[in-house]
Amino acid sequence: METNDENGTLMNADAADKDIDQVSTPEQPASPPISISGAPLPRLNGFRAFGVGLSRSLRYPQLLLVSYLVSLLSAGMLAFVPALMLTTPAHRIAIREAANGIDDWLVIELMESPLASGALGGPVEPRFPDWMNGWILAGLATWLILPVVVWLPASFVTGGALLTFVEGQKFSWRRFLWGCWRWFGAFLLLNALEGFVSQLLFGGLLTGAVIAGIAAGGWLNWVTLPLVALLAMLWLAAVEATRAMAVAGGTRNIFRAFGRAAAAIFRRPLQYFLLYGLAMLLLLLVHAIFRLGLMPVVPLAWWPVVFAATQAFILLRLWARLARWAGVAGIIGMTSDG
Amino acid sequence: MKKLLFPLVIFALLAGCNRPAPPAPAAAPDWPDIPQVASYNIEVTLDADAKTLTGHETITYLNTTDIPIPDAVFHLYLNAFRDQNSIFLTESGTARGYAWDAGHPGWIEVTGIRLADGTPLTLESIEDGTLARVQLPSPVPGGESFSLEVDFRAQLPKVFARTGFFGDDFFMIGQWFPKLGVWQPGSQSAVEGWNAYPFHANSEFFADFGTYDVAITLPTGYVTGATGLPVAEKDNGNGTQTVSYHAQSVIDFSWTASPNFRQTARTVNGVEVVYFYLPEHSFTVERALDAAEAAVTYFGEWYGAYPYPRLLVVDVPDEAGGAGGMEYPMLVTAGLEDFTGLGIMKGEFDRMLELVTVHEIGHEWWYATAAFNEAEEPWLDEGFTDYSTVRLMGKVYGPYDAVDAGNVKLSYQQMRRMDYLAFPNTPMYGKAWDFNGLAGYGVAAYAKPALALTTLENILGEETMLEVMSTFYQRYQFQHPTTDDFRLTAEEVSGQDLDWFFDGLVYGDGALNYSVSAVDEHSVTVMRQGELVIPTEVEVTFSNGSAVLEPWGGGGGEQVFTYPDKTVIRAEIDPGRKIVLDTQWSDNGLSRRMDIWSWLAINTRLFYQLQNWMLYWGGL
Ligand SMILES: [Zn+2]
Repeated sequence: METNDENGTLMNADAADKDIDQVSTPEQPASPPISISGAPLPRLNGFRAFGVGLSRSLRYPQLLLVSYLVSLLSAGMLAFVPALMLTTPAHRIAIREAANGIDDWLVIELMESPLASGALGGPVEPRFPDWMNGWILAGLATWLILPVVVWLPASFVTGGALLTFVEGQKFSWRRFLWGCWRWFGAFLLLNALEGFVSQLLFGGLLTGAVIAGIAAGGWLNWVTLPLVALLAMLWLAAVEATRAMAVAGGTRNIFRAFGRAAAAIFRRPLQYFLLYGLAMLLLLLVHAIFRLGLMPVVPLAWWPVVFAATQAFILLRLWARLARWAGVAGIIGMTSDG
Repeated sequence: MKKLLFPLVIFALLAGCNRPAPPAPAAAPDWPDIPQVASYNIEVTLDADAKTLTGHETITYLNTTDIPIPDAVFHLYLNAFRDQNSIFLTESGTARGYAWDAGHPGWIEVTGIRLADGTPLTLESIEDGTLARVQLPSPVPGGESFSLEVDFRAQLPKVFARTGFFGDDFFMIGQWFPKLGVWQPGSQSAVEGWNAYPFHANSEFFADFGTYDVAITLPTGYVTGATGLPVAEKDNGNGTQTVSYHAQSVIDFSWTASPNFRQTARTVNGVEVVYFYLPEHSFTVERALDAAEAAVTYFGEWYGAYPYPRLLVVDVPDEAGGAGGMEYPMLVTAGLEDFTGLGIMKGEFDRMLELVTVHEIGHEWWYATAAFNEAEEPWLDEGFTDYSTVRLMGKVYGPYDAVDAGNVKLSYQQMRRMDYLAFPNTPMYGKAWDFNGLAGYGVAAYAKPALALTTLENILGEETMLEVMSTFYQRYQFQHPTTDDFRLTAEEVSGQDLDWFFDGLVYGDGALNYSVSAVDEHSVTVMRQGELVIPTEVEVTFSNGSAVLEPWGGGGGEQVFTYPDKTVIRAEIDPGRKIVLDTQWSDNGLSRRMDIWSWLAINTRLFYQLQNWMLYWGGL
């Protein structure tokens, strides 16, 4: 079957998925989906999966580059309108203070501007500061289109990246793009479900935990909050394993992939716990260095320095994510093989 | 009372310069020498299990007016907590963030009342029973005293609205004994006669100065602290002890008791500052004492020396916050709450402990000695105290004196601005119960006065403002000053007509926003929104680098300044941000040129934030 023609046969690919478990591509018809290259890794425990993830993510700098370009492009699109609207307040002298880091007075003023304006009555009509209306609209618009802007490119890149990791061959743009295209629709759906369930599940759990903490006393938070964090990690692992499972198994049926991923995690929980524990620690370390070490000493008005620092942080975050994906792809590749 | 929510200085020059304080013999403490109007000799027994008080008091009251006193009117404050029908609980079922517990009400009952010679008197209850009155056999003429013997018993509520018990063995006991109102001529008060109101939810207290001798009998093992100095301690041999306190020239007496208190002390300018803390709060010791030292030092320097020999700061249990953050003569309560509920936030990132401590100690000047009528003019004691707190916190703890936690930084002044901006159309003047809801009261009595007095200081200058405040304090210390007294003093000392402050801010409810609405090549347009008018100035900068400061009264809604011979670059109204009541500072300055560098700096961060959000939304 042909899946990457311009007529979008992706749409009816679900029917095909029901009976294929093998990735078929134009160049490599019916090739086995998984072929982890390099030394054989008979038992890939969580530690080694993390190591494999780190090394494999470094082996394909192209993936990091693509992820970063996607980040730049999406943020650029989102930032364009607010940046344009900021040109008016940039004539206000107070903009200099905002450039130095938003001060408490400015935050308070902006927050309460509608209340205060209502109270002014008097000779001039109550109003937001002239640029506030624009900000609110831009903020709302950004908020509304953000999920779409995030999901589209992120969903697109994931398939190709995972395929590259699963196959472990020399990097091929063709292969990468084919993977991107093939799983685009499936991952779009999975990401939407992930977003929905995450908000529902963890919004609810967190609210419940906080209420219980208030009702029963602070000590309960010591139990509930780590539990919620553990659940969140488990959920992240399940979703990411689902993606890897889909690519490794050559299926676009995300529900079937989710079932398999859940079963895999259930069979070898320690493996996943270790991989995700280490990946979260890495993320935490990157955050700590950036937020506690770097940013407090960077003068915010020196924007070229701020730009360099923040972009380095974003690159590290993207790399950490790719390493995690490569790690989970490694585990799934091995377990499927063995 | 709080609504929330050190370098040493040259002290010798200012300390107590107007006070009649001859060097006292080393042994005898130096009490302020003023007429003792309302004096109480009390013997009270605490039943720590039943949480009850049984007491007897001898009240001596001196008529300092020339109007004969025909009767006596008492406050029985604890009756506000008897049931849901009290004025207090109808107005508000919660106080300071804590709800009244119907299972643990509080009340007080007078079981006997007679003249010193034994003549029995009849007590009649007034309104909701938080006031009571007895007719005297014959009016007491001016200059003479009368004495009453009163027996009473009281049930303490579970800590609510400043007073009561918590757990098995923590007691903070305030507003606990039958206490006389203030006998005033009509010239000094809204009512001629006994100035005493029922206990309202938003209202605090008003009383005369006097001597208190209080003997407290309670189980052995309890550590006690109180207004005044401990003068005697005796083990009764029956499992109880009796601790006696003496205080002079004070307007109230409160006490605390718990076997768990630990104590530490520091001497500040000759005042013994004692801190009673609970073991779980031992980490607060240095912070509380530092804050107390700063308060005693700076307020003493600014207004006049702390007039009593001792000051006790009392810590309260975490969940008895209703007892924390309260002022009494020579005794204040503080306390620390962990907002996370995890028990790990020990106030490292916020200075609420310091804020509360400093605020309550501020009341030793603005309540305990300049004894305002807190029911009729609550803006005075809370406003003066909160202004003093804003001032001190900024001086001692720097620009982010309330919260300094990474990206979240907040000054106490801005915290108050946040409160104010939510209800800017609130007059400061009014009786405590005129302000519906705690929010309006909070703005009227705390936030707006703190900002208004800060604005007054910014406009008059620090030196003049301190002279206004210290003159006012020296003049009215140990009296009952009013808003009018403050107006007279402020206008006299500053030599200025302060209508904008008193008519505009104290009595008025207008708000204000100044802005520069247009900057053209040869002109600048400034604008005022809102009914409030405060004189200000506009700084105009020209292309040749020179600048001019234009005064503007703000009276008209709009004003255009023209400069045919010069090219204007930018203009800023109130460039020093003296008017902290301006609802919007962000529109105060305008330039003809866009600040591209700052624009890029903000966009760089905005861009990064968007990337960051996308990473979180896209699965970390
Ligand atoms: Zn207060």
